[in-house]
Amino acid sequence: MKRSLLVVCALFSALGANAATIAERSIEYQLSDSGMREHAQIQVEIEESGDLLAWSEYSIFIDDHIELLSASIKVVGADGDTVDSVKKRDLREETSVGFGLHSSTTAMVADLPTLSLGDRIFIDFVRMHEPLFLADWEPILLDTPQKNLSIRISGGGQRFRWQLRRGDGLVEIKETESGVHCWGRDLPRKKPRDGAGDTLSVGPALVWAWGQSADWAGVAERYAELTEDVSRGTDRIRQLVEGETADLDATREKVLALADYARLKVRYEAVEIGVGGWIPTPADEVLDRGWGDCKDKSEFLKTLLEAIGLKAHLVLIHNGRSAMLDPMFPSTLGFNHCILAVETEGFETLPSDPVIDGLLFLDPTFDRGVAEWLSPYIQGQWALVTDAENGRLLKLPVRFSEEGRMMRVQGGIDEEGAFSGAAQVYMTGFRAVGWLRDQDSEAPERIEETTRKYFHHVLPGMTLGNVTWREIEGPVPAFVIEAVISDDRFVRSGRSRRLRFSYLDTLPESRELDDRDEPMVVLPGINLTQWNLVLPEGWCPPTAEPASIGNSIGSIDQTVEVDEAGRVVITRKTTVRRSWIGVESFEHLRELASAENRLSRGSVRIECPEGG
Amino acid sequence: MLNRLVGLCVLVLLVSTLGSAASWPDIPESDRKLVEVPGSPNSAAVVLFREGRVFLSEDSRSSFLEVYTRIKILTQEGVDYGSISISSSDYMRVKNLEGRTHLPGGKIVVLPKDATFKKEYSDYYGSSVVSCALPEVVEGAIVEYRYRTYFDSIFFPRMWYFQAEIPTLVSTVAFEIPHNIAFAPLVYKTLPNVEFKEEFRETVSGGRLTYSAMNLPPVPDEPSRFPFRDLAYRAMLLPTSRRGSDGMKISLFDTWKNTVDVVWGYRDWGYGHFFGDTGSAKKQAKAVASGTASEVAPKVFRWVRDEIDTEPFGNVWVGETSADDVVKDRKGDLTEKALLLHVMLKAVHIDSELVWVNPKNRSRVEQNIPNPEQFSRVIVVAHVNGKQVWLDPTDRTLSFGKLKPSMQGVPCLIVEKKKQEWSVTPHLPAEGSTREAVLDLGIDGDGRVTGAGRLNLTGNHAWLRLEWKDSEAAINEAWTEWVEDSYENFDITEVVVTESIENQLVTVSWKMSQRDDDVIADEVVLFPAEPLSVGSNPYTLAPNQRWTPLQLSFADVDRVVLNLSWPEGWVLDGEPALGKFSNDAGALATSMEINEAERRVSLTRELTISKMEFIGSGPYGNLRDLYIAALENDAEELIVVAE
Repeated sequence: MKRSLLVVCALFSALGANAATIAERSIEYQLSDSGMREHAQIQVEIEESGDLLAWSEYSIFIDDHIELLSASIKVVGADGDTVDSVKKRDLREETSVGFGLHSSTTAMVADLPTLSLGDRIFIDFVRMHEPLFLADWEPILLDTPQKNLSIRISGGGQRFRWQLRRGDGLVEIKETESGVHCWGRDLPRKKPRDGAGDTLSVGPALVWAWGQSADWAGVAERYAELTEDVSRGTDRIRQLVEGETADLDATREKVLALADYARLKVRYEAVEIGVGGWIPTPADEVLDRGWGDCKDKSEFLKTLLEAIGLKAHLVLIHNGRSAMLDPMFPSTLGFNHCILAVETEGFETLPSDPVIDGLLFLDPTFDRGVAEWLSPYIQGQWALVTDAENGRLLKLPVRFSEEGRMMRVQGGIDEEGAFSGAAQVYMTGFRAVGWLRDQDSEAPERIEETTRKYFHHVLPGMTLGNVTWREIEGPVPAFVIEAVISDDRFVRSGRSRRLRFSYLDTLPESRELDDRDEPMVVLPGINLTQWNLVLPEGWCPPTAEPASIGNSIGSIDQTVEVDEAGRVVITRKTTVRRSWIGVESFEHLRELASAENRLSRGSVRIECPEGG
Repeated sequence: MLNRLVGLCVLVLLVSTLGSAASWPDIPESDRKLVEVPGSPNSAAVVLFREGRVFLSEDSRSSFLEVYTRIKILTQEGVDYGSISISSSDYMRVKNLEGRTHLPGGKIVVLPKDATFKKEYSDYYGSSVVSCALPEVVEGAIVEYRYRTYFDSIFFPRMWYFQAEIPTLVSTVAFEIPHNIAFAPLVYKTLPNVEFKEEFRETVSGGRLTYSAMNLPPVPDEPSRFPFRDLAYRAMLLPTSRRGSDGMKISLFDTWKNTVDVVWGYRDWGYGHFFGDTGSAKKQAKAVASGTASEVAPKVFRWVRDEIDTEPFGNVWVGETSADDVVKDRKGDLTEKALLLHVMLKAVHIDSELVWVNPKNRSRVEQNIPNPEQFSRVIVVAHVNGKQVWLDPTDRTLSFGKLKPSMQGVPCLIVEKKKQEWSVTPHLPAEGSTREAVLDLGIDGDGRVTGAGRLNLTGNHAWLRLEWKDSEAAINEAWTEWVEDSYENFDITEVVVTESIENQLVTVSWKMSQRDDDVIADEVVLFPAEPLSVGSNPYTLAPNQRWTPLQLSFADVDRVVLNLSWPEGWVLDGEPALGKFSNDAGALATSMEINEAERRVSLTRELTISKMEFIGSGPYGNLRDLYIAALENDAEELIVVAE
């Protein structure tokens, strides 16, 4: 998925994935009005053969806002002798190591090729950070177990604030004057869990902010100040706007036309140029080069809309399922995407438009669907409207009814228990996007392969005949795949007749909720499976268990009916109304997941009642 | 195939007059009007014109390749072709990247200087990627770009690929050949009915040989296809000899003997230099070597494998590095480590030879073309107690005598200064690479299934999973997740993983117990092929739809044994169909033994893929049919119910 990063995550050193033991990890941050001085001391014990490769390089990251002041990496053998020593001058540079075509991130790499089991690595470096936003975070758990952890922050001043996220029970914490000290012993390695997304963002962490405003309005104002000098409103832009809106009367139509221009005529390119990845490129330049990242495209659209007299604001948001902002801790931490909010005063919108608090939200980076459709990866997320006068945090709604899949299987069973018929799977919303992209780029043979594999997955055991696929026009991306299907052993005859049904399962396994303290993130939407069967004469309808369960997360409904034509219709509908499910709602999620699992596992039997 | 030697007769210094930065070629109206490519529907973009000009400098100091490419964007997805990335290194230096976009309305937008970027990712050979984002790329636009790659040799070691992953209307390459160098043209016409032209013209400096191909389809991205390098229409020039200033002919790559000589080099460069400075290497070899030959050889091998950091680059060449440099730095590329191993084995009186080899997932080797660039790797074959032992010291998960699957069963050249000999690397038969899962399960009175499972991996399957994560804890977690994915409704506990690199074995064992919310009081449904069931058939195309030959990593056997017992009052509800199928691709065999009296059943399912290559519609069809049979079989259920 092409997505921009504002490079807002703190640039921490590569601590070696899944390897060794960190005997000591001590980090001191000395805060000031302009930034912070970081002194890190880390001691690593090389214990397994896998560590030799994992730790043969050690990287310290810097960028336009982070300077490496000193570094010393020493390898000491089990006998206490120094085996290797690398100073700052010996580090080699790997440039542009971040995401995308270009980034300002540079890795200063220490090569440690002579490691042996039993060695210890002593790492000591000092970095100076001068970020635009005075906030940062440090993970508590790493991919490596830690014997001793100490994070000490000082010099934060009156506006210093901090938060320990999901670290209770793992570490101790004590406030100091304008600072905090956090420490822990024998910390386990972080274990990734399914449905938690990028665990670096959602793992236990110490976050802090200082020196700047401690409310969302203040954060919004600060961002608006940073971007206020980005030049706007040139003649070229005005001409472009006139050209694109000449034949349109209604303001809403103009807004959407300009949004389409930004989405479709300015391509997305993840190139981090400029000040720390925060400041967008002026609209004129974006127009010249015809590409931009998320903030560039949003700024571009903002400029276009201003040319028709509308007011719009850049919106900072988290795109993806890896993190949910904490509304109780105002800061820029966690934002990795930028969209736009247009003030709707003075023009009419439709009920289906994503309007909240007088603002129409538009994402100019998404090139599928209509402008007013928002990807489920930003639905349900907190969004910071960077209005200098009225900056505020709003939550985007989850529009689950636009997302989903429907599988319809219809056909007949003969006396021998063989099934023949057809199946269609309709996909709407984000689930259709990948198929649509393939349709515009892949050879038909590749699409056919993908379609067949998909049907093998959702209808195991079925033999596939001809398959087809097509886009369905509409405001939300939509796609349908179809197949002729058959199964000689659809009905198993034993003590009773059993039918081999399958369903579109949606929910995570209930096992994922065991001993879990991080949220579960799911795709919202409606998933529906319907079987329409013509049975041989004399066969009784199948005994699928009807069900209806609903709670705060969503619902599952299963019905078994016989229609007027004598067709048996089994329908299961699973609705998920939320994407981010916190621990407090796990009971409800488990209830639905268990119900779905039970309904899927139970055989559908054909047994006539006694006397029937 | 050696085509002809090109004789050159004009003794004039090469002067390049081509590739002026000031002018761009005209774009024909037909390019502007093109909206789709016949025969390639859905194509996101098309290469309208691609031209390469290779200028080979007779003094080997200023050769360069100049590339010009013009692409039409046909769909919205094609705008990604507006981002260009080109590999660069100290040896092949990319410079002067320029580009333009022609919009559908006629406007031309030039790539600004500040829209070119460089990512440096390795110090060892100065490896980097030069990239740019072409401006205003939209559907219907034409993008064009050009650049030069400079290299210090008369040998341009790369193929010119006429085909790409998208259709190509015209691809042409011209070689500006200096007068004092003879070349053998190598042209691989992998498609029939392609309009292909060849032209030679004498020039002031020597000659110009031009190849052009028109209307080429893309190389289809079919599952498990042969490598692109083998499938694409391509050409290169192999220098076979040069004339020295005294007029003497100096052989280059005209025979394998001479090719090896060139690579071997001399005291200051090449293998000769590498083997000239070996004092520390020999000392180190003696320090680790103790015991008999069969004990010493593995120790030396393991030292090179584990104590020298591997830089993941290599071909057959070695520059100015020596054996002692590698020992001192504790770092070497793929070739340097092999040469070091050879030196160290020799130091402890173990005979060995260098072997040039190419992984089959890179491309195939042609024995009658003495082109050293066909090989991307050097390994070692040692003679221990009268047996050949093939050694690759670059991968810590490869044991003594074990090669990666991609290097098994491929032609290789055993290389000595005075002798070269073709051979074939050994490969494991299907039975040598197995995955065997054994499940011992029982149903209790409540209808809950509990028991234990074990998975044994041998041969290439084991190698794929040896140290596949960075720590024992991570390996255990990964295997736990693997088992859990196969048994979604079970709690998996007590996962124990044992690995043996030296024996190339992995064993995973676990306990399993059905979760409460899955227990149905009167029915148990199991899929006997789990955890090794074929989830989908990757070969869904009919044989007459498939274009490319197919290669698998290795032949193998997957075997599952399910032993299930049930309590009194429960019975088997019918029996699953027992799949049986065999053809040239392999075999599927399922068998079942039921003991009603003891209330247990044992079901064995075995899928053998006995070959690695499937060339032609017949063999491909056999593999496809085998997968269809396996897919159908693996959907079968074993059902036990309470009476």
